[in-house]
Amino acid sequence: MPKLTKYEFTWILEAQLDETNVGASLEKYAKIVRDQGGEVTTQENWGRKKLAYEIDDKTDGHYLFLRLQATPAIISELNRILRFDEQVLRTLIVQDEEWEAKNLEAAKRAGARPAEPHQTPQVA
Amino acid sequence: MGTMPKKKKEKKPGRKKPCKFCMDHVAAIDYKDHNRLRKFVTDRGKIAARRITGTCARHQRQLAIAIKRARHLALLPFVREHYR
Repeated sequence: MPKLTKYEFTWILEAQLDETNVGASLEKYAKIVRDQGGEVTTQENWGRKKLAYEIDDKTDGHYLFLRLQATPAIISELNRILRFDEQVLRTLIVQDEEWEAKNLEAAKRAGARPAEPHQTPQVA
Repeated sequence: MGTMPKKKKEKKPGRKKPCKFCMDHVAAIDYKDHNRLRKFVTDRGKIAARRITGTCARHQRQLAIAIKRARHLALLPFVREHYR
Protein backbone atom coordinates (compact mmCIF):
# COMPACT_ATOMS: atom_id res chain seq x y z
CA MET A 1 0.00 0.00 0.00
CA PRO A 2 1.65 3.24 -1.09
CA LYS A 3 1.79 6.11 1.35
CA LEU A 4 -1.23 8.41 1.21
CA THR A 5 -0.90 12.17 1.40
CA LYS A 6 -3.66 14.50 2.54
CA TYR A 7 -5.04 16.92 -0.03
CA GLU A 8 -7.75 19.53 -0.34
CA PHE A 9 -9.53 19.62 -3.65
CA THR A 10 -11.82 22.48 -4.64
CA TRP A 11 -13.48 22.87 -8.00
CA ILE A 12 -15.99 25.25 -9.55
CA LEU A 13 -18.82 24.13 -11.80
CA GLU A 14 -20.86 26.21 -14.18
CA ALA A 15 -23.73 27.82 -12.30
CA GLN A 16 -26.55 26.90 -14.66
CA LEU A 17 -26.27 23.21 -13.77
CA ASP A 18 -29.03 21.98 -11.47
CA GLU A 19 -28.56 20.33 -8.08
CA THR A 20 -28.61 16.76 -9.43
CA ASN A 21 -25.75 17.50 -11.82
CA VAL A 22 -23.81 19.18 -9.06
CA GLY A 23 -24.32 16.24 -6.72
CA ALA A 24 -23.31 13.90 -9.52
CA SER A 25 -20.05 15.76 -10.05
CA LEU A 26 -19.27 15.62 -6.34
CA GLU A 27 -19.92 11.87 -6.31
CA LYS A 28 -18.03 11.34 -9.55
CA TYR A 29 -14.77 12.76 -8.24
CA ALA A 30 -15.15 11.14 -4.83
CA LYS A 31 -15.62 7.83 -6.61
CA ILE A 32 -12.55 8.34 -8.80
CA VAL A 33 -10.44 8.86 -5.70
CA ARG A 34 -11.89 5.79 -3.94
CA ASP A 35 -11.62 3.56 -6.99
CA GLN A 36 -7.93 4.33 -7.32
CA GLY A 37 -7.26 3.39 -3.70
CA GLY A 38 -7.52 6.80 -2.08
CA GLU A 39 -9.79 7.90 0.73
CA VAL A 40 -12.31 10.72 0.88
CA THR A 41 -12.69 12.19 4.35
CA THR A 42 -15.01 15.13 3.69
CA GLN A 43 -17.41 16.01 0.91
CA GLU A 44 -18.75 19.55 0.87
CA ASN A 45 -21.04 21.49 -1.37
CA TRP A 46 -20.49 25.21 -0.79
CA GLY A 47 -23.33 26.08 -3.11
CA ARG A 48 -23.68 28.66 -5.79
CA LYS A 49 -21.56 31.79 -5.42
CA LYS A 50 -20.73 34.91 -7.29
CA LEU A 51 -17.22 34.79 -8.74
CA ALA A 52 -14.87 37.61 -7.82
CA TYR A 53 -14.11 37.97 -11.53
CA GLU A 54 -15.54 36.47 -14.68
CA ILE A 55 -14.25 33.10 -15.84
CA ASP A 56 -15.14 32.28 -19.45
CA ASP A 57 -17.72 35.11 -19.35
CA LYS A 58 -19.46 33.50 -16.39
CA THR A 59 -20.24 35.46 -13.25
CA ASP A 60 -21.42 32.65 -11.00
CA GLY A 61 -20.14 29.23 -10.11
CA HIS A 62 -20.97 26.22 -8.01
CA TYR A 63 -18.25 25.41 -5.48
CA LEU A 64 -17.47 21.83 -4.47
CA PHE A 65 -14.86 20.65 -2.02
CA LEU A 66 -13.25 17.33 -1.07
CA ARG A 67 -10.76 16.52 1.63
CA LEU A 68 -8.95 13.38 0.60
CA GLN A 69 -5.98 11.12 1.02
CA ALA A 70 -4.27 9.95 -2.11
CA THR A 71 -1.04 9.16 -3.89
CA PRO A 72 0.54 11.49 -6.45
CA ALA A 73 -0.61 9.10 -9.19
CA ILE A 74 -4.24 9.58 -8.17
CA ILE A 75 -3.82 13.35 -8.20
CA SER A 76 -2.42 13.36 -11.72
CA GLU A 77 -5.28 11.11 -12.82
CA LEU A 78 -7.75 13.57 -11.24
CA ASN A 79 -6.10 16.46 -13.03
CA ARG A 80 -6.24 14.60 -16.31
CA ILE A 81 -9.96 13.90 -15.99
CA LEU A 82 -10.67 17.47 -14.84
CA ARG A 83 -9.01 18.83 -17.97
CA PHE A 84 -11.64 17.14 -20.13
CA ASP A 85 -14.62 17.94 -17.90
CA GLU A 86 -16.40 20.80 -19.61
CA GLN A 87 -18.63 21.61 -16.64
CA VAL A 88 -15.59 22.57 -14.58
CA LEU A 89 -14.51 26.21 -14.61
CA ARG A 90 -11.63 26.09 -12.16
CA THR A 91 -9.84 23.61 -9.92
CA LEU A 92 -7.38 23.76 -7.05
CA ILE A 93 -5.69 20.75 -5.48
CA VAL A 94 -3.30 21.54 -2.65
CA GLN A 95 -1.83 19.60 0.21
CA ASP A 96 -4.03 19.74 3.28
CA GLU A 97 -2.35 21.93 5.88
CA GLU A 98 -4.89 20.85 8.48
CA TRP A 99 -5.71 24.43 9.18
CA GLU A 100 -8.37 23.82 11.80
CA ALA A 101 -6.50 21.24 13.83
CA LYS A 102 -3.32 23.33 13.87
CA ASN A 103 -5.15 26.45 14.94
CA LEU A 104 -7.05 24.72 17.70
CA GLU A 105 -3.83 23.30 19.02
CA ALA A 106 -2.07 26.68 18.88
CA ALA A 107 -4.92 28.29 20.75
CA LYS A 108 -4.87 25.59 23.36
CA ARG A 109 -1.14 26.06 23.85
CA ALA A 110 -1.62 29.78 24.27
CA GLY A 111 -4.49 29.10 26.61
CA ALA A 112 -6.61 31.62 24.83
CA ARG A 113 -9.85 31.60 22.94
CA PRO A 114 -9.45 29.63 19.71
CA ALA A 115 -9.52 31.34 16.38
CA GLU A 116 -13.01 31.14 14.99
CA PRO A 117 -13.45 28.06 12.84
CA HIS A 118 -13.88 29.07 9.30
CA GLN A 119 -17.31 28.99 7.73
CA THR A 120 -18.16 27.98 4.24
CA PRO A 121 -16.97 30.89 2.12
CA GLN A 122 -19.58 33.45 1.19
CA VAL A 123 -18.68 35.59 -1.76
CA ALA A 124 -20.09 39.07 -1.31
CA MET B 1 29.91 79.38 2.59
CA GLY B 2 27.63 77.23 0.51
CA THR B 3 24.34 75.92 1.48
CA MET B 4 23.69 75.06 5.02
CA PRO B 5 24.09 71.39 5.71
CA LYS B 6 20.65 69.98 5.62
CA LYS B 7 19.45 68.62 8.86
CA LYS B 8 18.64 65.01 8.46
CA LYS B 9 15.09 64.24 9.27
CA GLU B 10 15.02 61.93 12.17
CA LYS B 11 12.81 58.97 11.74
CA LYS B 12 10.59 58.44 14.68
CA PRO B 13 10.37 54.83 15.55
CA GLY B 14 6.65 54.32 15.21
CA ARG B 15 4.67 52.16 17.51
CA LYS B 16 4.94 48.63 16.24
CA LYS B 17 1.60 47.28 15.12
CA PRO B 18 0.64 43.92 16.48
CA CYS B 19 0.27 41.06 14.04
CA LYS B 20 -3.41 40.18 13.87
CA PHE B 21 -2.72 36.52 13.19
CA CYS B 22 -0.39 36.22 16.17
CA MET B 23 -2.98 37.88 18.37
CA ASP B 24 -5.59 35.34 17.29
CA HIS B 25 -3.10 32.46 17.67
CA VAL B 26 -3.49 31.44 14.06
CA ALA B 27 -1.00 28.69 13.22
CA ALA B 28 -1.94 28.27 9.56
CA ILE B 29 -3.73 30.75 7.33
CA ASP B 30 -6.51 29.21 5.26
CA TYR B 31 -7.19 30.26 1.68
CA LYS B 32 -10.86 29.34 2.09
CA ASP B 33 -11.31 31.96 4.81
CA HIS B 34 -11.51 34.79 2.30
CA ASN B 35 -13.46 37.15 4.54
CA ARG B 36 -10.44 37.37 6.78
CA LEU B 37 -8.06 37.62 3.81
CA ARG B 38 -10.11 40.48 2.42
CA LYS B 39 -8.82 42.73 5.20
CA PHE B 40 -5.26 42.24 3.96
CA VAL B 41 -5.67 43.45 0.40
CA THR B 42 -5.80 47.06 -0.76
CA ASP B 43 -8.93 48.43 -2.42
CA ARG B 44 -7.26 47.67 -5.75
CA GLY B 45 -7.02 44.06 -4.67
CA LYS B 46 -3.26 44.02 -4.14
CA ILE B 47 -1.73 42.25 -1.17
CA ALA B 48 -1.18 44.89 1.52
CA ALA B 49 2.39 45.49 2.70
CA ARG B 50 3.50 44.39 6.12
CA ARG B 51 4.20 47.97 7.12
CA ILE B 52 0.55 48.78 6.51
CA THR B 53 -1.05 45.84 8.23
CA GLY B 54 1.59 45.04 10.84
CA THR B 55 1.59 41.35 9.95
CA CYS B 56 4.69 39.50 11.13
CA ALA B 57 7.07 37.96 8.58
CA ARG B 58 5.97 34.39 9.14
CA HIS B 59 2.30 35.18 8.75
CA GLN B 60 2.87 37.50 5.79
CA ARG B 61 4.47 34.64 3.89
CA GLN B 62 1.53 32.36 4.64
CA LEU B 63 -0.90 35.16 3.88
CA ALA B 64 0.56 35.79 0.42
CA ILE B 65 0.13 32.14 -0.52
CA ALA B 66 -3.40 32.04 0.88
CA ILE B 67 -4.43 35.17 -1.04
CA LYS B 68 -3.03 33.81 -4.29
CA ARG B 69 -4.93 30.56 -3.83
CA ALA B 70 -8.14 32.41 -3.01
CA ARG B 71 -7.68 34.49 -6.18
CA HIS B 72 -7.30 31.38 -8.26
CA LEU B 73 -10.65 30.15 -6.95
CA ALA B 74 -12.27 33.53 -7.69
CA LEU B 75 -12.92 34.04 -3.98
CA LEU B 76 -10.82 37.22 -4.14
CA PRO B 77 -10.34 39.49 -7.15
CA PHE B 78 -7.02 39.99 -8.91
CA VAL B 79 -8.11 43.56 -9.63
CA ARG B 80 -11.25 45.25 -8.38
CA GLU B 81 -13.97 45.63 -10.98
CA HIS B 82 -14.03 49.43 -11.19
CA TYR B 83 -10.26 49.74 -11.65
CA ARG B 84 -10.21 47.52 -14.70
